[in-house]
Amino acid sequence: MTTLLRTLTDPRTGDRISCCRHDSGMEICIAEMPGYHTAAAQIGVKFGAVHMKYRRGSSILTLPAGTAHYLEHKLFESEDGSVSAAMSALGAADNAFTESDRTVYYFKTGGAVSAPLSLLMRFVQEPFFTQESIDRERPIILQEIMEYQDDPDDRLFLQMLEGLYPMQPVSCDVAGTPESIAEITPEMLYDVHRAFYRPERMVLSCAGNLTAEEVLQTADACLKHPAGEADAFLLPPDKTGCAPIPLKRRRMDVGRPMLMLGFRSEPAQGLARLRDALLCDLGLSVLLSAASPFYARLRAMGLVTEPLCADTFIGDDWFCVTAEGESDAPERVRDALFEGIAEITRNGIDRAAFDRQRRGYYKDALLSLTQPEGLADAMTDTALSGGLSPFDRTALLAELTAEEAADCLLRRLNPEQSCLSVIEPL
Amino acid sequence: MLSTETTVSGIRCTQIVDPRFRCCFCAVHFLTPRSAQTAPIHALLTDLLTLTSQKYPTEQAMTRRLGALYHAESDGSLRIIGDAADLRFSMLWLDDAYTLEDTSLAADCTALLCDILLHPNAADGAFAAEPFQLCKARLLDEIACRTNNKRSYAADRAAECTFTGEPAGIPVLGTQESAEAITPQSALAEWQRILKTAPAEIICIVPREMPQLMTALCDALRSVGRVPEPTPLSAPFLMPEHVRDIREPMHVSQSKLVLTFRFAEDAMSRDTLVILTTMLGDMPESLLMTTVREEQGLCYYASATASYQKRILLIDLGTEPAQAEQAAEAVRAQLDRFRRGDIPAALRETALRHLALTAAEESDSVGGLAARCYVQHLTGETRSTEKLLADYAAVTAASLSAAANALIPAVNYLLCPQDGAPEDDL
Repeated sequence: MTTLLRTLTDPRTGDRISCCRHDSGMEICIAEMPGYHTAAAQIGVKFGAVHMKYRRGSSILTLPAGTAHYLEHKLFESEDGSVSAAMSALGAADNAFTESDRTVYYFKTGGAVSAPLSLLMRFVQEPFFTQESIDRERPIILQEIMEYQDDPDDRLFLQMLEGLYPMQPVSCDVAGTPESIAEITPEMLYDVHRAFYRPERMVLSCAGNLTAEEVLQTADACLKHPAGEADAFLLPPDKTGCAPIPLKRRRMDVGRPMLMLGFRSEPAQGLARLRDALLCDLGLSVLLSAASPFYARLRAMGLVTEPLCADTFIGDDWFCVTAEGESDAPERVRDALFEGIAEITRNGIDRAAFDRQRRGYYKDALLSLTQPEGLADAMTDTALSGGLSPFDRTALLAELTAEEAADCLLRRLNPEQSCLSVIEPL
Repeated sequence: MLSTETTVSGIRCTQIVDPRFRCCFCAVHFLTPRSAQTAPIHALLTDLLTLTSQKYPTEQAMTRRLGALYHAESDGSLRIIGDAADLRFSMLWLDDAYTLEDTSLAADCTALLCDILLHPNAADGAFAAEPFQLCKARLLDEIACRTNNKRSYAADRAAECTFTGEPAGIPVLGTQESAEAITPQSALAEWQRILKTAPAEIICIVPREMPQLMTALCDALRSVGRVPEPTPLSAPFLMPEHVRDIREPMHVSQSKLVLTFRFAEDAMSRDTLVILTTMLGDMPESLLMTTVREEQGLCYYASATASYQKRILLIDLGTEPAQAEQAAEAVRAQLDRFRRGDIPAALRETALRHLALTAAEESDSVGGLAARCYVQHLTGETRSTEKLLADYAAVTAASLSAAANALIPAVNYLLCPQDGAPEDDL
């Protein structure tokens, strides 16, 4: 049985999303998209790479780096064999990804949604691990780790996190290390699954060519009630004595030096988090845009040939704003960025430039919701980020101001709390 | 969805009306032959023409203009199809119905796309010096950075080696030397040649009937006085007489192995090649993924791609250096299964379902619809999706076996670690 929690409607487009709570405790978000040929469904679990320490009773338990990712891989094997093979026999294509604070399992289908949806719910809830299957997976994950190690974009980002959050779980490689994954056992994965893959920590998002009725009927047939009350609780990262490292560099086989400047600031939750993320992203994008005097200055100084890109990386326990690009003089770019940020927080952000940027973000946000996968992503993301609505982003983008953005940059982009990550050619 | 096609002065025009999409998309394609000299010019043109125009003569001015149009996405892209280059210039913008202040964008965006194509920032037979130098510097950077993504670099190198002496063997962006040799005059001359003689096609995808967009673009192109010349998609080539073994050492942790095969024109039908490639390695549950990766743990990824125009099948893997030879043998063993006619019926069914899903996905996105429409026109494909899928289902095991037997090994390429690891952290 499900209880309708709320119906979300976007006043600009008329799009509707139904959000329900299943008896098991799982939240279910459904968007019917008439006229589409495909449907997308995903289960998001609030358990990710940073979740490495938890309490059960009076015991504190620590997990090896890469546990959430290993679990993600192994859930695709059931007692009957490969889940993906079964999914594909139903005309659906499945996959999953692990991020710092979540793991998401999903499929797309061009046919009826009930059968693959039922399979998705079953395999996420019913783990099947043996020592043999765990051992068989290890070389595959080792190969994945090696691929990440050769990826300069991945190294640049991770190195920036290592500088901003030294010794913190958020700066660990999501896949772990060859040493850490050697410690993972079937018992450990069973325990973690039982403790944290509980329906109340999950959201099911479905969008596209489907009906709410078939989704809810399938949920009733497949969702299990948790066995007893939760008895394990994730512990927040220990932040003692972790001042940022201002500069991190390494050499790789790349054509030009790559740089990423990251700023850390206090985490935020719910709508305040989304609002500040948008304001930082927008404010910094105005500064970095090819239309800005700042970019013209960097070009005139011969520091860059293309604009830098702004982005954010945000979770329950971290708030990170980044600027990324290529330059033969990364430290001079960083210094210029510090000056540019100081200037716009002192003198304000040009309103016309801000509004141009804001409308562009509004367009991107609105169009991302016209794809079944995009809408399912947004529903999962907002549900796991404190019960927001996928339409909150467009609503905020219709009203944010340049003054708010300047204020947010002043609060959140402190050079003392930054790290410059550089990848230099060999 | 409603599709209309017309041919005006040799320009094929397709308008697809689909109310699901909240944006308008217009693309103009030019198909042109390539040579060592023109390859980097084509890459440069896709950047240079969209960077500035006569009316918006600086990057700053153009970015501001696009920003004022809700960050309309002006894009120039280069794709190699067979031996030819496809230069595509497109504009995507938010449909007027969804702008925040009832702004009308359609006419301005179409005019801007026409402006980009017909009124570039040039005078006296040469592109303006400053934007030209900027785009040339970016192109040289991009060529220098082609090794950044090891997976795509390895696949590109293997294909280039396979196509030695053919236009497709020229690197997509050209070489450092050929890019250095471009002048503002040679670039403009090539653009004027393309504009006059390259077969052109316009594709518009709009949420409601908007014939004025197509009319504006057609009128603009006709004003050039075009005299289109046919562009062959593939040149004749000689079958490889022996396999070329190529090893390229680089500072990497994971090896990239690429095996290429060629086949004669009458060796298989296009449909057979599609099924063979999909079964081997172009879907999540492909033979190579389930055997070489899942059963044998010899690689992290294994995929197959093919080009019917170029009569090539390419298989690429990411594997541990010590296992590269074993992985290559494992791939050959799977191909041998096909050659012997050991073709699992279930795998063929899986491939058919995967292709059906891919077709459904394409029809749910603007980009997918536009790409499918263009490729169908280029290859003379007139079958409906339903008929195409039925014809795929009719491909027999015998024809798949014959196709596998017709594959002639061409290149074994290995990107492998070189001695002396780089200093990890500076």
